[in-house]
Amino acid sequence: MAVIQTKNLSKTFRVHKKAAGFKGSLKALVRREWLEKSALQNVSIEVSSGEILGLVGANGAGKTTLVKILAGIVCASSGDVSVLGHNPWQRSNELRRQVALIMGQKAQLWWDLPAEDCFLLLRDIYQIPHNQYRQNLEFLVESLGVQDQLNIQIRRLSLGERMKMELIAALLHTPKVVYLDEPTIGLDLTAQRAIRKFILEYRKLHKPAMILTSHYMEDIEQLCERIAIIKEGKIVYDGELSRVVNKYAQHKILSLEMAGPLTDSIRQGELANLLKNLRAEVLLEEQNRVRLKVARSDVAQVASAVLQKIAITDLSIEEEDIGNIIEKLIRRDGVKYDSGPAS
Amino acid sequence: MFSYRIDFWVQFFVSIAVEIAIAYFLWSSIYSTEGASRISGYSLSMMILYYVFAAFGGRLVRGNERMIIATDIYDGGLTKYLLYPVRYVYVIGAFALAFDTVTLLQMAIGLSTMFAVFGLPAGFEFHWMNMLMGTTACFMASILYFIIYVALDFVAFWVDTVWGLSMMFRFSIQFLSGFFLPLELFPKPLQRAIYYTPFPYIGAEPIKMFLGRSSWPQWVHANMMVMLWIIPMAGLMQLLWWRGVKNYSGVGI
Repeated sequence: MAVIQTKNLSKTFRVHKKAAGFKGSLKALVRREWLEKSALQNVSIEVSSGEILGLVGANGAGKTTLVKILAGIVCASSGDVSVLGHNPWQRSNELRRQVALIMGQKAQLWWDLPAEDCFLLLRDIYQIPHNQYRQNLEFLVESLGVQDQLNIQIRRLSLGERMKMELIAALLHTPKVVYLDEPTIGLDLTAQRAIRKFILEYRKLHKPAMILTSHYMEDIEQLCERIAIIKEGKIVYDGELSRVVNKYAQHKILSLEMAGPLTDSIRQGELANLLKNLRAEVLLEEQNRVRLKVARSDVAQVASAVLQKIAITDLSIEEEDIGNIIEKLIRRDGVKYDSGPAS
Repeated sequence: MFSYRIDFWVQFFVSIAVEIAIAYFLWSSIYSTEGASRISGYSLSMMILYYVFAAFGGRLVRGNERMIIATDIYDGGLTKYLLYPVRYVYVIGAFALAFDTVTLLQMAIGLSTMFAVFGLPAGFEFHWMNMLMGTTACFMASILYFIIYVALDFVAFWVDTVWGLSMMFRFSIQFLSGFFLPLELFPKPLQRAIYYTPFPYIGAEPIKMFLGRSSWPQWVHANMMVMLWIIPMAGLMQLLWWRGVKNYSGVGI
């Protein structure tokens, strides 16, 4: 059963326009021009317990607006929204005790306090029983390896340490719904990996319904089985991540390990002849390795031709990078999208 | 609250000491120029003492006026309080209460140091009961002032900057409350008009209690008036919250 559910959800913001320069400022002082900006249009999604939905889209596509509506921060203009059977906009304490939002770009902890004081404050706000608080804190602190930073003021922590503290703060009350808005933004690779590993562990243990927005494809690939692509406020794809590759990847990558060094005679002879009549392009040439980008329909034909005409020791066929495919889907206009059934 | 030790002492000495010093130099000059021993019933020492209690009482009533609510609305700091299962106004109220506790501590240190060093001014008798009456009246007034302050900052839901409006209102409130000048110095018709508003009960009346110029019935009357004003102002604050939060866009995330 879906924990998070939206149906035809729309949101319009009213923003004022100001003409450039001093004259424009004076004009705006007397009379303001307003612009209706549609942030979301008829968005319908469902997320079940234990599932992580990756919300993917360009800047300004509407990802964060959707998360804000689901978290009860912003009121929807129209449509239905239900989280654990509640309307988030009503912000009932019962719902808020079961929801968490982690924002990579916005600190939620109190900067002047050490992390542990912030956690104590949150224990009282969420009315977490003392034993449960102690157990949860121990588990979270140990999993994220921040034992030594607990008594340091938040403002004095590094970005990675602060983000880990934000995660602890958000998960102390063991929420059933977790929104992760770019949780790894600006972090180094080690910290990104640690946070991704922790999110997966947490999901395995508590099975919350999660929505993740991220511009890092590695986050999406490693954490989400299902994605929703949002473009200009509309969901243009909602389905399994693996389906994106099958459906939208137009190429495969052929990696060849040559028997000897890649000489100019091979490059201009056998290889050039091979590629002449086939839909393939060279991505990389180095020493004895060549990578070819081949149309999916031609893979068998190209592989067979390579085996016959070039002396190789190894051949492997890989899928195109999923990040590139999604990026193309987000950016390209006129792409015919085909949403799969929500898993 | 105690994270910044320097700020704790600087706030105390700079704001309070400077306020009192200005009042001292100004009123000494006025009394000597006029050659008067009393102005509107105040001797020079009682006038300075009025400003001492206005400075301490004012801090207690006005609390931390750093426009944190408007800032929370503008930079998205409000978001976390919308997520937590707690009412935002209660959180801000708890901050204000913490600030008042620190102010009370500063007040006790400041007044005892002042009386120990300079002695009690002529014409002033120290009574614990007067201190209790003044402090409780200040505490009640701080609730009313807090509600007015919150309601004013909620205007930030609609306008891009609330600073000018807020400063104007705060200046007017402090002027009409008697924090800048004792109300006895105002023309009689204006004094009568001001007593139809809640402002004298925010400043002038609690200060008079500290000075020993009020009785228990006047204390009861002042507190009743404050409570009467709290009801409509709290209603207005709540209305502004309900309407305003619909405009909140959670900027910064």
